[in-house]
Amino acid sequence: MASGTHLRIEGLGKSYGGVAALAGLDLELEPGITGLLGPNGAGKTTLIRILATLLAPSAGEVRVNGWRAADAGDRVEIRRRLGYLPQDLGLYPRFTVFEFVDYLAILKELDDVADRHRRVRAALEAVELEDLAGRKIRTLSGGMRRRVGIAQAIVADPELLLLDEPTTGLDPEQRMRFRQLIAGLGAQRTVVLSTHLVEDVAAVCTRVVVLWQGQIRFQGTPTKLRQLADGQVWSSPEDGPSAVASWRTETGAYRVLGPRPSPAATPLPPTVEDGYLLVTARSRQDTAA
Amino acid sequence: MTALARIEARHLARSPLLWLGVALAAASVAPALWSSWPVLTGDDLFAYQSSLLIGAGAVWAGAWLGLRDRASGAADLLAVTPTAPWRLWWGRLAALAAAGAAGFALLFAAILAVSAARGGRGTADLRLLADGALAVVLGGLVGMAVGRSSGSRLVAALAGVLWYLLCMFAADSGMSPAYRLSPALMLEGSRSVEFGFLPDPFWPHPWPGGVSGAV
Repeated sequence: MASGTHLRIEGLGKSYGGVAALAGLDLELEPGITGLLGPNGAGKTTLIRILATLLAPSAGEVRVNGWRAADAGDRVEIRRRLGYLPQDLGLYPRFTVFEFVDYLAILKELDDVADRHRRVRAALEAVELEDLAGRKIRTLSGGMRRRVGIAQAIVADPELLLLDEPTTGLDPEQRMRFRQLIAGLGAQRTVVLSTHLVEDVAAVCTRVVVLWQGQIRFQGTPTKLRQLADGQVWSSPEDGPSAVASWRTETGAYRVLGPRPSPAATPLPPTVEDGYLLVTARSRQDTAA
Repeated sequence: MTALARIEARHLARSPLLWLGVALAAASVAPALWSSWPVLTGDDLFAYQSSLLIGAGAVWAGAWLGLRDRASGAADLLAVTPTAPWRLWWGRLAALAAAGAAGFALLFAAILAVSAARGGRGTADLRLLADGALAVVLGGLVGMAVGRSSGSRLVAALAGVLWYLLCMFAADSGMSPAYRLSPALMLEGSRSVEFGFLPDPFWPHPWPGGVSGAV
């Protein structure tokens, strides 16, 4: 059973043609599930790809259990402990589900055939694909392919699991099962979950990092993120002019995030999403200023 | 990497591209075999010449293998594994060699069997079998390199055609494919000049030469 890793990021920066995707990131991660939140272009995927040793940073360094990702020898050690699900998942369409996961398991140095096949079956069972093990990948739906991707990521029992938008294409029931799976895995491993779905983070993460234009704008527990919105969420008959966000609900009243929109407004309990929206709104104001 | 080579070989054995080469080779050899009935000597040469077309199929199959990671988008998944890329490619090359050589050996045996059934000699010079198999394997290797470096299906398709035309041109000119590909192999009076790919040290003795070459 994997025991998790200590991940340390110091002064991490990445630029693409002079445009900074990440700027001076400092972060330490322990075993548990960390959710990476941020709008499109915040740098989530760039950060995940650097952690996965696919991209070299322009500045700073990443250490996993003391191994430096910049060092070729250390990089192999990191990869031995790594499970990775990319955002743009590519699979071999002519392979069967079992063959593909087995193929990746071979590359992850699972040399004993009986043990490897047992692990492949266990991984497929974890994502509920065991009945489709003999199906060609080209015949699978998008959600099923995503589950094949998750299976290959967990097949070697990785200590560090990097998941980039893992629930894209999954239906609500599959997402719920995915959360159960990740919650179980996160008990022993260091899991980094990049997503724009706040409810996934709220459901399973023990820690949240909010990125905005390549910088960390918040890090802490989902509870702390939610508490940022304490006293800032209202049910109001009218839309507030200085609201961070507001929308009309099924009752006809507005749910308003921000200062009290009117004397008739009543306070509502905040959600993690409210906290996230406040952080991004403040970041936007800071940037504008 | 044996396990990986086994999976790849299994897939290559079902590759329509490789079988297209085998089918084209069978279709091209069949009329020649029929028109020269009864074949008493040199029937293994007919079989040997089929390697040119199977080689083209091997170029296509190798090229597809070479560009598969990029085309499917799976390159990232492979890149984050601890396996060194050269080990991955050796495994694939071994699979290609096994599947290509097996495809050629199958057609070689089938042609000899047809020849024998029609009153021909039906016996094989194993060196020709080894030589033809090497031609097919070399085609696969060239295809894999083309596919990997170009990343283009069109270029890969053209590479197979070009390979066949080059081999045909070399054969029609009385020169071996190896001569065209590697002038260093051309030694006056040696069998490799006549037949191509099996290096000279393998030629003097039919059995050891053929078996070593095949291995």
